[in-house]
Amino acid sequence: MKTQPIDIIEDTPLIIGKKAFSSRFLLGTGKFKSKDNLSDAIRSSDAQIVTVALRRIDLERHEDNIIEYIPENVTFLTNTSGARNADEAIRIARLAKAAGCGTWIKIEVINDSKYLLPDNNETIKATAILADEGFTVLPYMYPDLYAARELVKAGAAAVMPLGSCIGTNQGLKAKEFIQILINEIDEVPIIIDAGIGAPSQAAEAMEMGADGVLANTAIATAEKPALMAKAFAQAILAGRLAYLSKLPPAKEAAEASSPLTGFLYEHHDNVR
Amino acid sequence: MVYYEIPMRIHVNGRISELNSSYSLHDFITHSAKKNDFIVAELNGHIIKKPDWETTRLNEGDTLELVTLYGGG
Amino acid sequence: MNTMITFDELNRILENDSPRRLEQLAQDAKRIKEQYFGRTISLYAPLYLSNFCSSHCTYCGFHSKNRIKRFKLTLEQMRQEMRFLAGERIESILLLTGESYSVTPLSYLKEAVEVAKDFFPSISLEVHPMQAIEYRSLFDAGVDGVTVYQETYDKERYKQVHLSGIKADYDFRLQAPERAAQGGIRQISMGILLGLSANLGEDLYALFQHVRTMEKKYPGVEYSVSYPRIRPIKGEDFAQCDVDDKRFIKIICLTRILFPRIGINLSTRERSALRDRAMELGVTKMSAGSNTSVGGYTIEAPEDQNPQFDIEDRRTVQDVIRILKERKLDPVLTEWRRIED
Repeated sequence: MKTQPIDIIEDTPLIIGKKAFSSRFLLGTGKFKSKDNLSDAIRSSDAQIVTVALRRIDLERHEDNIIEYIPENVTFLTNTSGARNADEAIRIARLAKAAGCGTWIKIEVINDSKYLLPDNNETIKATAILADEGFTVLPYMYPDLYAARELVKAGAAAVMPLGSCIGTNQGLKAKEFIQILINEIDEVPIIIDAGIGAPSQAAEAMEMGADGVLANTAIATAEKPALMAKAFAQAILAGRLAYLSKLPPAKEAAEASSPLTGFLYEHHDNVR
Repeated sequence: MVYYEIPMRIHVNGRISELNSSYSLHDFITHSAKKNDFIVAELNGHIIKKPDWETTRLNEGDTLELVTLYGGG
Repeated sequence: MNTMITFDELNRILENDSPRRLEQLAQDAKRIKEQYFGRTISLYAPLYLSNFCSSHCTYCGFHSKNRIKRFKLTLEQMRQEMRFLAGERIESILLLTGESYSVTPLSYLKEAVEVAKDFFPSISLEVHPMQAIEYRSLFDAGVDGVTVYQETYDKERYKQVHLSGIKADYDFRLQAPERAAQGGIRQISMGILLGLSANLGEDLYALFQHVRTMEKKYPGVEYSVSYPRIRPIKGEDFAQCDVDDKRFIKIICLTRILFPRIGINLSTRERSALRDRAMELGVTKMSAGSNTSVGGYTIEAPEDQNPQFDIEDRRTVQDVIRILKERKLDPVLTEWRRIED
């Protein structure tokens, strides 16, 4: 079911690489209890980009292929999950291309099974090589301004800082540092990925000025994934509209101290 | 198409697989995996394009990776 | 995403006369400055090496058509002036010249820097715009900072007041900060001459954009801005718009709020009373004990001097240090010391 169109404020499309999207919600397809849940979630949220993973075929089971559950015209963003370094990520990307799922790659290089934090250095290396080979690269990264700049230089089509650790649903733990990226990087979209556990957090991300949100666990593990997906889509839209209408900044309580500018209004020779 | 009847072992997706004859890549894949358009075959570290599956023969000791798309974040 | 205000917002702020609003800006500016800089004020002194100038800037006491005594310090004279300033406790020196490639070429500047190194840990230059390779050479020689004010970003007005010489080239000057950054210069100071252009809002906005662009492109550089207010020269007034104290303070506060970590410099053009107040409101750098004539500290008699501009705050360095301390501000004379190889 389509969300209600908002005709009050116009928005520019989300432009990644050579494509333009009207939805700023990217949906991950992992951890869904059933493939039907997944296709319902995609449909109810109108997500136009979904992430998929490359895995060894389970030769014991003959499962349906996930592709059949993803509507046409949805862009596949193949992640390099499993890669522990740049070489492995590059290998997976090339496999994805050979598989025929397109050339959109989410670089996910994680050599840490405790926190699942991405390795920025390896991510930068992989981005440079894959961007050079013509892939549309969306790197998943730890919010570090230097790394973000390097990723842009390396040819990334977007930068995807984590909100908090994968699967923790802790929301925007890295908020201040993501804000720095949003403030300083204007060459490519900033899409917050990982850790977004509730629609309110997705709205918060968009209010900050993020260009998009990628969420997976919160939707896949919800009791009613299709409904949760819709909630996310609407929250992302709400947050975006709030951002576009320029939220007034939260004002701290003014200090009650003696006036600093009183002297400008005194009438004597010292003031011009 | 069966080339000749010699049993052999290859590694497939990290496991040892015993074959009773040498198959073409194409036959092996259609035999082992459910049909889908998004299978990639990497034989001994090289990606083998689909058009070449028919003419590629599996040999003793080969390492084959068959991957496809799954759900992921 | 932009963290800048829009042009309209800037003009609204400039036009808004509400004392309450100005007070709010001042409170914010003070708080932000203290958050990022503590209560420090960096002190420095200018040293004019030469007033030879081949540019004709109508508003400047040094301009090429002005019949003043032209004078360029020898190395020994430099040493003498520098010794005096070092004796006054100055540790951060700003070396200035008029704009003349021929009289004060790169080699002369490098010699001056070499001499200055004996007296001051921190050396900055405010001279004619140069090529990146020249800035690199100066950086290697020991220059920490370069100051180059665009004066006005309004091309028409710029053309009107910069009639000839190197300075008449708007673009060459505009790109000087970038070339300095490319040359490795670590501290770059930019600014406009308030009142030179009638379009204050536009000039200010253009300066803000220029600084933002530099920050983005050369994030490793420390930036500061300065807002000299135009003053009459020999009785002639070049101001096209009035920037009164209220506006001046407002501009300083706004700059501090928009650029929390940028340096804001206040020269001795301004009266002591105003400087004392502005110290609290976002300013981080001040000159002290200044003389703006070549050889003005120890060589030329006061009656013979031709200052670039009239100084309003004539307090000595000691005076200024004392006043700062009285106000519980923290005078900083240098932020580093050289390590000898």
